[in-house]
Amino acid sequence: MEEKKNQFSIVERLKMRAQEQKRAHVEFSEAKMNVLTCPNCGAGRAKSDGLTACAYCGHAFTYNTLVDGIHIKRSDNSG
Amino acid sequence: MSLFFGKKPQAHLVNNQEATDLVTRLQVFLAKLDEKAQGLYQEAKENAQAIADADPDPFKRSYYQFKTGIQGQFQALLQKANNTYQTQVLPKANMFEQMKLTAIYSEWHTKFMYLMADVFQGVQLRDLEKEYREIMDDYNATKEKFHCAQCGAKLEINQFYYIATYIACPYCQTQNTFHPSTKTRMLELITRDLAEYRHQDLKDIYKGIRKEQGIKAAEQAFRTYMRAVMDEMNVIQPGMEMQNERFYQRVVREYTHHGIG
Amino acid sequence: MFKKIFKNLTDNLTEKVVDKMMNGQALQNQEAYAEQMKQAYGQVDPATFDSQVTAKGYTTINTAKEDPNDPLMQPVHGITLYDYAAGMGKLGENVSEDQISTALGVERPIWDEARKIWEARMKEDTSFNVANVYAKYYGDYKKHEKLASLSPLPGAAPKTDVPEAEITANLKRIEEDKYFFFEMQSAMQAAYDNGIDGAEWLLENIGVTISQFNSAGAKYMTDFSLVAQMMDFQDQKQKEYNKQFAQGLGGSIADDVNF
Repeated sequence: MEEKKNQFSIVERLKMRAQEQKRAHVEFSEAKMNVLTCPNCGAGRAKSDGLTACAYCGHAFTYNTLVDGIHIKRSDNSG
Repeated sequence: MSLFFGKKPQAHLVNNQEATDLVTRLQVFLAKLDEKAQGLYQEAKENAQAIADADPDPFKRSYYQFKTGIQGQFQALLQKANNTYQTQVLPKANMFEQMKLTAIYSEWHTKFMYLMADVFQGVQLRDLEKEYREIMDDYNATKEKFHCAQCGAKLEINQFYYIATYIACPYCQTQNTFHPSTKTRMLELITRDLAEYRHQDLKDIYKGIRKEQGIKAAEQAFRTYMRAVMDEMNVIQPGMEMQNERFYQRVVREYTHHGIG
Repeated sequence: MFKKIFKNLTDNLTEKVVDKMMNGQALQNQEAYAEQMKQAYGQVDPATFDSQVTAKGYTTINTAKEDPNDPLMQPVHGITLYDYAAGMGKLGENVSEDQISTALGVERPIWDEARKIWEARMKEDTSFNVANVYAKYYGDYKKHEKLASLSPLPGAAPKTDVPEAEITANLKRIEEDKYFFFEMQSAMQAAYDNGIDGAEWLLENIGVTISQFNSAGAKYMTDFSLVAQMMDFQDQKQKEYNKQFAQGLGGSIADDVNF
C-alpha cells in the first residue's frame, strides 16, 4: 500500500525547502532624531552656519564639498 | 532551430514499420513529459500565491526560491526532451520522418514554453497599496514624536524623508539628523512596482497596441505609460525628479532603439 | 544588461555556425552544436567585441572611462564612484553604513544622498559607462584606502560556522583559482534549480557572502573568452551538484520518463 501521506510531491518538497530556508534575520530599527553638536567644542550647530564646519571653533565636520543633491544643497557648505 | 540538426539523409528508404514506431515512440514520450509538465504547472500555480502571501521576508526570497526550484523542474523536463530528441530520435530518422518528427517536437515545445512562461503569471508578490499605506501610516505617526533637544519645540517633519536628513529646529535653528526607520527605507523596494501598478490601465493599452500593430506603432502609448509611471514615482518618493526624468529619457531611448519595454 | 547587445553579436556567430552546417558539416547532436558555439564564442576577439559595442553607443568594462569632465562622474558631496562602490562592497560584508560614512569622513545624511544619487546615475546612463566603472571599482573594493580595514561590528558579521582562516583562504582561492570560482557559481545555480537558496549555501559551505564572491570573481565574468572556455567545466559541475541537491527532492520530475 502506498504511504501517500509520506510521499510529498516535488512541488511540496520545493515549497518546504523555500519556507524552511534559514536566512539572516532582517533587523528593523525605529526612526531616530539626533541633535547635532560640535564634537570639538560642544556648541550646537545652527542651520545658518552650514553643514561642513563649526561656526565657533572652525572644526570641520567634513572636508568634502557639498553639491546640489536631494535635500542637501551647495549653499549648505559652511563659510 | 532543430530543423537543421540531424543525420545526413539515408541513401535507402527505411522500413515503414520502423518509421511509424519512431514517430509513435516520440509522441508517446512527449505525451508523458507533457503530463508531467501539466501536473507541475497546475500544482505550482495553485501554491504560488499562497507562498508569496506567507513569505515574511521583505525581499520575498522564499517565494523566489520556490519559483527558481519550479523553473529548475521545467528545465529538467525540457533538457530530457531535447537530449532524447537530438540523440535518440533524429539520428535514427530518415529524411521523410524528419519533417514529421520536427513538427511533432516543435508543437510540443511551443506548448511547453507557454506553460513555463505562464506558471507564475498573475502572482501578486505583494499587496503594494497595503504595504505603502503601512509605511506611510508608520511614518506619519512617528514624525509627530520628535522634539528639539535644545529648546524642546516640536520638530517639523513636513516632507517624506526616506533617507537620513538634516532637519533644523524651526524655533532655535539647531541642526538635527533624522534617521528614518527601516520600514520607511524599505519603500524604495516597492516604489517602481507601485507606480506601475497604479497605471496598469495605460500599460494594458500600450501592450495591446504593441501586440496588434507592432513596436513602432505602440511608441506613443509606451511614452504615455512611462511618463505616468515616472510622475507617480515622484509622488511616492519626492526629491528625485531630476534623476527620474533622466531615467525616463533612457527608457524611451531603449524602446525606440531596441524595442525594450 | 548586455544580453540585448550580445544577442545581436552572437546572431552573427550563429550565422557562421549555420554556414558550416549548410556546407555539409552535419551536427550529430546538441553537444556538438554546443561545441561549435563554444568555439565561435571563444573566437570573440575582445578588441573586436569592444569596438562593435562602442559603435552601438555603449561601453564595455574595457572601454569604460572615468572622465573627470563627465557630469555623471562628478563626486556627489565629495563621495567618488570608487567610494560608493567600495562602500557597497563593504556593506556586503555586513559593515554598517554608519561605519562607512564615518570612514569616508562624512555624516550619514551625506552618505545616504550620495548612495541614492550614484544608484540613480547608473540607471540613467544609457552607455553603461557608470555601471562598468562601478563594476571595476566593486572588484577592487578591498583596496580602498579608507574602507579596506573596516570590519563588521561584534555580532554583525555574516553568520557562518566556517572558521575565519578558512574564509580568508576561500576568498583568496576565488581570486586566484578560476576553476574554483566557476565551480562555486555552478553549484549556486544548481542549488537554485533545486529550490535551495544558493547564496545561503555559499555562506554555509565556504563562509563567503554573495557580495564578496561577486567582487572577488569580477575579473572572470567580464572576460567573455574565459566565460566561453569555462562553459564545459561549468556544465559538468552543474550536473554534479544538481545530482547532489536533487537528492532531497527525490530526484527530478523528469527522472522516470523514458523514451
